[in-house]
Amino acid sequence: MDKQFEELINTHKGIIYKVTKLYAYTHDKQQDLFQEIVVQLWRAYPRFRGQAKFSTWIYRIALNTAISALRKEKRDMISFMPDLSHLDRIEVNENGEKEQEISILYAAIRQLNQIDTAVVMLYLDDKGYDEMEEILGIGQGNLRVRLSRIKEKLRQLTKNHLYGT
Amino acid sequence: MELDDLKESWKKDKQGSDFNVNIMELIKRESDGPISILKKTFKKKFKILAIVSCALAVKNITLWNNDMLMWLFIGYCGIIGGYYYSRYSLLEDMHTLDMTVSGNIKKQVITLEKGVAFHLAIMQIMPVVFAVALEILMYNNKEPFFSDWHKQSFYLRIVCYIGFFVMFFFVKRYAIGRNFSSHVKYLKTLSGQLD
Repeated sequence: MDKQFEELINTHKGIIYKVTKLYAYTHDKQQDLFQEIVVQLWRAYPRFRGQAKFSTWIYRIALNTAISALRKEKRDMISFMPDLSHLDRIEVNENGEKEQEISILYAAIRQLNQIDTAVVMLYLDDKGYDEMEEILGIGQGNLRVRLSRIKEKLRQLTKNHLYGT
Repeated sequence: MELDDLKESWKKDKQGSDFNVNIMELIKRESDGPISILKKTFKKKFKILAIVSCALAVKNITLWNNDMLMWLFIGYCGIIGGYYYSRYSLLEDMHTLDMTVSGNIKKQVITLEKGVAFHLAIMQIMPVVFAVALEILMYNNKEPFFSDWHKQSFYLRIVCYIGFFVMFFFVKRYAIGRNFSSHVKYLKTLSGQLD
């Protein structure tokens, strides 16, 4: 069981990493959250019977852990800029503004509440509304409206930051 | 830049696949989430209570000749043990995270509120049971252990019991609030975000 669990987690660790990226603000906190999520996955693994896809199961536990465990502190958008050193250097150098825009948008996403952050994460991962519903337990109609509001809010937040309004 | 524009950058993020961690080492570590911390605190208190109860029993070993006292002590251990078992079960129930996000939040709010209400109710009943048991014990045996207290007037004893009930109620309410209230408040905030 240990080996099987290890293989499954290694295959899907990108999901866990991405959750930590949006719910934890520093590298140390991301590592702590990563560890916490893996521990919770291990606790829940004996109960997994394949009722849902493995990735859906991981998303649920990872998001539940991140949302329950961390109080999201309200931060000024300037106070943290995500580490984008992993981005392709050629792309960044061709358009230096793009890196800044990405940073601002990430900072805006971190201003959202915990549930909206989860919706954004699943949207960025190209999950359809049916899959989002399976993970979040929120109806598809509600998700569509929510996503539309989130996009508008992010526009406002990024605009406020750029133009200082 | 719009959210849709971020998708490309999000997908290109390779740090996830390069994230080198030893999964088998990680699972050996202890969880430090809020429920795990509550469970650890709870286990510590239970151990202290068990040690104190055993120390009292050993210190007053001569009193074990008295059947009624012995059975009362066993009853007390049974009630306390049952109470702590139900609290631990509540925390275990809250610790299952494989439901949908909204289902998990709603379940935790309901479980915690019901659990807190139940425990407050028990905390109100227990001092009354204790006082009644003490009075019955004093009238049914002549151990010197109780003679000083038995000498006091009945009305004075009643006043002391009432004072004890009131103090006990507020102390336990404060303790339960301290352990659970911030988490309940946070869960209710999350629950509000679902609407």
